[in-house]
Amino acid sequence: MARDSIIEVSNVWKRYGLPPFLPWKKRTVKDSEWALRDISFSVPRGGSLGILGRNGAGKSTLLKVLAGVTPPDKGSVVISGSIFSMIELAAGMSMELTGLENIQVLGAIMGLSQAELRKITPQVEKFSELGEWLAKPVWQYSSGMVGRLAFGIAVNIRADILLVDEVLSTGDIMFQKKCQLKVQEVLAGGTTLLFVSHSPYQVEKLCEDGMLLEKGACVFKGGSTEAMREYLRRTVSAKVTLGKTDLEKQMDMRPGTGDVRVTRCYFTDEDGREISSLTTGQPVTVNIDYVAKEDVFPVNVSLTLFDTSNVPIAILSPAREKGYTEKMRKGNGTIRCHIPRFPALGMGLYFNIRINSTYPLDMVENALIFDAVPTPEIAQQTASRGIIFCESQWTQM
Amino acid sequence: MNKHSLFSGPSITLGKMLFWREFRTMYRRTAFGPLWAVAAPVAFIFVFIFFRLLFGIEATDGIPTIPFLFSGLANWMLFTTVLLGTFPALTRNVILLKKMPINPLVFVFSGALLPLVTYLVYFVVLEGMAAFYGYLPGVRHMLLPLLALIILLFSVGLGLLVAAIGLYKQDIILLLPVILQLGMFATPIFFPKSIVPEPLHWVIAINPMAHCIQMFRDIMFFAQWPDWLLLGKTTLVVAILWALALPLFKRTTRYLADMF
Repeated sequence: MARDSIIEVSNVWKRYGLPPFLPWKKRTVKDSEWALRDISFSVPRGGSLGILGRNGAGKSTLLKVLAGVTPPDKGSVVISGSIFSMIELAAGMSMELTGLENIQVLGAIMGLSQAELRKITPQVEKFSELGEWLAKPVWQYSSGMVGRLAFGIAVNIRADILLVDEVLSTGDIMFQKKCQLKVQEVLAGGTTLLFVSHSPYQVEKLCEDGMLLEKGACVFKGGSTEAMREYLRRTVSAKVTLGKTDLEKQMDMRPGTGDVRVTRCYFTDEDGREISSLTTGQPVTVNIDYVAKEDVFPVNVSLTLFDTSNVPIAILSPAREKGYTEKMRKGNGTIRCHIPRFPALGMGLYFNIRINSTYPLDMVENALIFDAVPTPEIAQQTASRGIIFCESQWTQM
Repeated sequence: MNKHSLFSGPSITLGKMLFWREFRTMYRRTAFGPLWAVAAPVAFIFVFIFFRLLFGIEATDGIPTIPFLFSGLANWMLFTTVLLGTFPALTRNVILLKKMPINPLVFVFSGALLPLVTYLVYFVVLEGMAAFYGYLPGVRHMLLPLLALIILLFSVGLGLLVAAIGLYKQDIILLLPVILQLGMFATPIFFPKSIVPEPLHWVIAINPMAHCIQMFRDIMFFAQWPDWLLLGKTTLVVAILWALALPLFKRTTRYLADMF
């Protein structure tokens, strides 16, 4: 059964700035000025769409156009329902009013009746965990408390559509968890969600569909998992070259004394051939070419593996494995680190290299940026999701 | 996009909330509180008396000096506070506009309510003052609120025009207080119209505020009906102003959230 669409956007173009003062003058627009170019999409009632894109891709502009706070220059936006926008959470809060009064004001703008306001106030009170702070003016709040209040209002006002812009990272970790659960609960209740984020994983988690913006234009529309892959493919491929070429150039700018400097690093397979992408579950060797200005002892080399969201997922170090440090002789040399079964999967993973003596010698960030592609079997087991492949055996009693 | 219309429930509720917010926070963190509402006219009246001495003005069209000055001042202050407050009312509330589609006129009107409340207080004081001097309120005083309404509409209309232009170039916003300062000398507030020399009569003739204050005094102190033709002309000017300003304001303030 086809669901009716609650948001219908067709051929929307938007640029910032006022129209010419004299209405009969035509406005000339340079191509680069468009913040949105020809965006069309529709969201079914109860659906959820994640919008991905790098900084300046037009994500927030799109949300503003949808919220109706800024008009599109061309094209049309048809919305059949009430919208609550969580663009810039603190916006819309009046700092000199108390928390309770702010609930009233935002509720009033959303068109809630007095009875409805009375109903949601205790819910917001409970959710935001602000207690007696609600009777104090908002300017006395910490920014985390403002976020909690705003979030509490947003999810309890029960709009048909929620526009969410990077706000799930408000408050401490416990509150973030609570927010995510609440958003999922609200979604289950039939609310439509539009979610903008830099974090493709969050989009994948919360949304059914995904859309990828680049320089104001829509470059991909589809399921959120596919959108995440496409986003990673596009953003990561831009990074890979950077990691490769600049290693030697930025040598003097790197921290560390520079007695030892990494000049190049690369992956090789079993046969010693250089490879550019890894296969999850297969062996790989990390090669680090270096130049030492003098003999150094003791030396400790370590690699840190990060995922795309800059979370360190593994630390590889000989010192921790064997309990001793090596000596480095003056001149050029290569350190090899063999990984029998590479455990991670995903795109835009990277290694940082650290060479320490009793003091830091060299630190290379983003030394190797790469994709780890799972083998077909692993892809099947993991559905190409997750960051780590964990071997497992299953039995049934 | 379906921006709430000005007279819809949410707009009215929001307008009320904004008004109460302004009302409650108006004298917050001041030592003298509402006394400030009295301080401004008292100070002005002292300045006016000083001016009159300086320029050797004695005429008041036969009205006692204090009611004469205060009747001009109360109306002039309604005009200037509303006009000067229009653009700030928009910029102050732009964070709300960035979040939700709100008709910006809500901010303008709720911002104009506060000067109106002050005016009401002045008006009561003025009636008392007039009664004290023997000018008892009569049937004709029923027209005074109508005059206040005309002044209010005139200043809001002018405010809309200024705000719309000010969004393009802010010069007019900076210039406005200066223009209003000069306007005080081009309006018979601390001097009667009768002493204005013949070659300068046109300044009074093109000044709607001059007419409003004139009519106000005619009603309050001379128990006359106002000059109906003048009243008609002034109303017409206000109507033409609105016909110009409102569409322009609507057109430019659609982009208000982009500008701040």
